[in-house]
Amino acid sequence: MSSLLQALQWQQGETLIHRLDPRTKIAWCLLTLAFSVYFLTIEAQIILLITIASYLAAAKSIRRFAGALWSILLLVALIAALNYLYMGLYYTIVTSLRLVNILTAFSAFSLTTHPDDLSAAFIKLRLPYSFAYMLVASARYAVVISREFSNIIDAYKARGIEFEGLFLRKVRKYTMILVPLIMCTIRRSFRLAEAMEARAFSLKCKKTYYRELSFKKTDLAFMFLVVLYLSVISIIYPSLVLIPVQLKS
Amino acid sequence: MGALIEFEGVEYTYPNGNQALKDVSLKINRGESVAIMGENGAGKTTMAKLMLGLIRPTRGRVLIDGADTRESTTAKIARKVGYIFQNPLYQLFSDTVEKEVALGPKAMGMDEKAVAERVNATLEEMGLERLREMPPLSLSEGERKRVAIASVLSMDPQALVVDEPTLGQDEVERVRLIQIMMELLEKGKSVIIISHDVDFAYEVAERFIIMKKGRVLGILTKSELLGNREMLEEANLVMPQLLDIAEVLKRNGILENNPVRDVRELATAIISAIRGDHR
Repeated sequence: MSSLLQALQWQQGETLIHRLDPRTKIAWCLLTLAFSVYFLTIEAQIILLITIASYLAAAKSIRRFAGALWSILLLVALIAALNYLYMGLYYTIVTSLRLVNILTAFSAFSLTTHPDDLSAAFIKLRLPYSFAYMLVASARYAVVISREFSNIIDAYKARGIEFEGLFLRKVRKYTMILVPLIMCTIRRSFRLAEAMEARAFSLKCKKTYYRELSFKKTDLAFMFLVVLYLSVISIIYPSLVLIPVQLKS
Repeated sequence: MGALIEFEGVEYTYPNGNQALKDVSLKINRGESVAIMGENGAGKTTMAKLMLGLIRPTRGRVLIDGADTRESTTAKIARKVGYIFQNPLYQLFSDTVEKEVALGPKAMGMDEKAVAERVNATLEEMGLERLREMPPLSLSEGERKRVAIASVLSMDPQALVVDEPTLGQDEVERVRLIQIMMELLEKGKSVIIISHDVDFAYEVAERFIIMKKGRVLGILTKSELLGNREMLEEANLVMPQLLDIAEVLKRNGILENNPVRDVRELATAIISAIRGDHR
């Protein structure tokens, strides 16, 4: 779980990708997600995967992402197995690749976009300040919860409780963690709310920002290349002509 | 008095590449009180987690009662070494104090009668009988800390590792914690304190492991502390107040013997100096 969350956590970097405007990265991420849903062939999905991998390589984040690869593949394998029961092999492969692309693109976006930049981007995109902050705070919270989760497991182990054994037994043991985890999370969120109030979060006034965002030439060039590239792939693999999907009877 | 906990050339590197411990070798004996001291990031909590087998050394080995932690599980080690977390909220899971204290003995496979006896004895020892039916999370910080200690003591471990025991505790609870630690030592348990609070550590511990950036700078006895002010400063620690006062008194010819062990001993020394006993 922690490796999966690590792949969703911003990683400091000085690459061109890191320096891009967060709105450009949001647009890239949304376009990639949209096209991964749109493409219906294995070839197109693989080309899209290569594109996302290139983004990760340019951001020097491949290693960080690789740590979470097993968790992602495990999730994909589980969904693929369920898909295979009802769909053909071809469609299962397409769906699996689509899921890999969606998760990888989202991870690539999270690894290269600082939460503060994300919040600034949402505000520039005219989202209400409190909503933008809530989105970013919840993204940060995932990491905190992961840490709490590890601490609580450690505390259980320190009380002589084994987490090894058969799968069902393990699942039952892990459910014991839910109550303390929820309690810790609620307490922490109350503290966060109080701290925010103490810093005049809910005050109705015009807010100013430490960092102001602005599009640069590199953002425009990046977006131009992305749109051009995706358009070319769409022409080569016109997925609107649906491939007949054979449903297993 | 043999070694209960042994570190042999232990190194530990976290998955993110941060090397928390570098070539640590030391022994902690049965019935001994030891304080592990150092600034944040010195590797104190990493050492504690290694003692409990929550993490395994990347190099060297940690032995608990002669057994390598790599060949055991945390749940098994927990029967010998109890760990009190810095934040008691992490280790309080049950809806009543009684159930909380019973959780460990039950996990050890004890029968109901033995669990009840163990719970009653521990609650009495920790002064928690009247809170027996209370939900642990509704208690004060100090009471929660005591419940956390009780929940570990009910497993009757040979050693107790207490991470930052005085954090968030008021003076009354602090004194009570000192009493609890002393009672445990009298019963022959080892007490390992991980703390920034040098005054608390000085009152409880007999030996001090001074750490900085994952290395052990030195292992000092109570009487060696005063002569090693530079080592403490290097580790960003301050001298215990008692020793500071004793040093001033000694410099002015009021006190002859250093160090004083506790406030009572210091007061006695000052009184006898006023009466002219030492001259």
